[in-house]
Amino acid sequence: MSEFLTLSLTGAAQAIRDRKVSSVELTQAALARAHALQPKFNAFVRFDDEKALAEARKCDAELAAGKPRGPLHGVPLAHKDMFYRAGEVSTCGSRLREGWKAGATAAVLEKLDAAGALQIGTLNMTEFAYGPTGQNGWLGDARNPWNPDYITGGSSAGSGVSVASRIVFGALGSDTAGSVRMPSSICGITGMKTTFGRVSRANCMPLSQSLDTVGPLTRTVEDNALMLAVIAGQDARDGATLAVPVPDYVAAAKAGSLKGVKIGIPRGFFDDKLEDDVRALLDAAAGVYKELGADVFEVKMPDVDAINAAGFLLTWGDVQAVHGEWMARRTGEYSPQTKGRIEVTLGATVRDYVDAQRYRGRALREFCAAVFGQCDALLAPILSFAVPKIAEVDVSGGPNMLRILDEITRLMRPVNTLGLPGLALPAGFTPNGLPCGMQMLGRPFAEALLYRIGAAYQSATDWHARMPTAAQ
Amino acid sequence: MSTLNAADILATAQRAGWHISPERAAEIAAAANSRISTFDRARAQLAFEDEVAGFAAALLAERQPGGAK
Repeated sequence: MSEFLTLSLTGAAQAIRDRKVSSVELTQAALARAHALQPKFNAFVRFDDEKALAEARKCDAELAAGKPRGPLHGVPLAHKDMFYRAGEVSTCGSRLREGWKAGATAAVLEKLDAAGALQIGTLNMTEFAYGPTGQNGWLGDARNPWNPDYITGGSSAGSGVSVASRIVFGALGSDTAGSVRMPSSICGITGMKTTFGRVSRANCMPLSQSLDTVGPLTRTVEDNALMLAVIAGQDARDGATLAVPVPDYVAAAKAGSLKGVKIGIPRGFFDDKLEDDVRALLDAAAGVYKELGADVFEVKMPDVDAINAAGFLLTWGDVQAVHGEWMARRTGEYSPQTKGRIEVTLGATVRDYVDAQRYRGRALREFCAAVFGQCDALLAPILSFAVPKIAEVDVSGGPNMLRILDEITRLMRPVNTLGLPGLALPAGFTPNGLPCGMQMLGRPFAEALLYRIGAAYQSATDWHARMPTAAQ
Repeated sequence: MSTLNAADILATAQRAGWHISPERAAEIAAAANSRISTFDRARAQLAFEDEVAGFAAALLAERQPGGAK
C-alpha cells in the first residue's frame, strides 16, 4: 500500500498542494488498492479508472499552472451508489435500477467536483438504503475490514469499508435512520449525520424524504469538517434546505480545551438495554471528555420511544409512496428482505403519517428544552451491543435475528425524527475485536460544536487512527 | 386510536395493487399496532395549532447559535 493512502484527507490534500505527491499518483494508488481489496471486502459497485485518472491528470496540470480548484484538489474519493451523476448508472443497490442512468448530477457531487475532488467509483449499499446491516443479496455483502464475518453496518456499507480500509480518504453516505453513523461506528471511522436541511439532497436517491440526510464518512473529525464545509448550504433544488449560514467547520475542528462545554450523559432510552462492554467504553469516553475540561453530567431523557415510533410512521408513509408502483408491478425484482420491509409500510394510515409530521415541531422544541436546556451536547451510544456477525442477522439467523434487527436502529431513528446532527466517533473495541462508536448529538445546526468536541476527543485518543486488521 | 387488523392491511394492499397473504397481513398489523400505540402517547399531546410546517420553524428556532459554542 502506498504510504500516501494512510494520510488523512486533510493531509492528502496538503501533500498534493505541496507537490509531495501528484493527484495521478494518489489516484493510481487508490485504484490499485480498491481493485486489490475488492475480492475481500466487496466495497465497490463500479470502478471509474479511466475517468478518475483523466481528471487527476487535469488536476495536476491545473496545479502546475497555479490554479487549484479548491480545498479537495486532486483527492480521490468514492461515494455510495445513490448520488446521481448525469449520464452514469446509479444502481441504488437494486436490480430494479440496473443500467438506469441519471439525468442530472447530485448537488453534493457538483460541490465536491468544484472543490477539486475526484471520484474513483461508486460504493456498495443496502438495496435502496432500506436496511441497517449493510447486506445486499444482489450486489453481494460488503465485508467488514476488521473481520469479514461481521456486518459492516448500513446502509452506507461501502462508504464505511472503503474509508476504513484506506482505499479512499472520504466518502458520502446518507442517513435516514443511522446509515452514516452505523457503518462509521462498525467500521471504526468518523461520520456526520447532518442536521435536516443542512445539505442538499437534490438528485440523490430518495428513501424517506422526511428524514433523509447526506453526510461525510472520513477517518478524522478534521477531514469530516473539510468535506462538510464543501457540501453544506441551502439549495433551491431541495426545498428542505434552510437559509442558515455555514460556519467555519474546519476552524471548529481544531483540537483544544473543552472547558465550559456541557456534555450530557442520557439517562433513559439511550442507556436501556446497553451491554456492559459498550457501557464501559462510553464511560471511558466520558472520562476523556472530563479530562479535556468538559462538564459531564447525567440528563434525564423525555419520551424518546414516542419520537422513535413517529420516525417509523414517517418512514413508512414516504417509502410506501416512493415504492408503491414498483411493489405493484415489479415486486419480484426486490430482494426478499427489502420487499418484506416495504410491505410493513402498509401499517401506516394517512392520519398516522400526517400526525407524525405535525408532531415533529413539538417534539423538537420539547426535546431541546428538556435536553439542550441543560447541556450543549449529548453523548449517546450507537449500538447497544457489540457488532453482530453476518450469520446472526441473516434471513436464517435464528430467533435472535428479529431482536437484533429491531434494536440495531433504535438509538438512531429518533435523531432523524428530530432532525438533529450526530457525530459518530470511534470509542474503542469490544472483546470480539470489532470497533464500538458513540454519537455526539447537538441542537439543530450544531455541527461546528460537535466537530470541536470530536476533534478534542481525537487529540486525546487514537481509536480513529487504528488500521483494520483484515485490511493490513 | 383503533387498532389495525389483517383485513385493514389487506384492503390497503389491494388499493395499492400489492399482493400479500392474509398471514403476512396479520404480521404487519401486529408490527404496526405496536408502533402506533407508542406514538399515540405523542398524538395525545397534539393541538389544533400543531402544523406540519412547524418542524422547519422549530429547526430554525432551536438552532445552535453560530460558531462552535
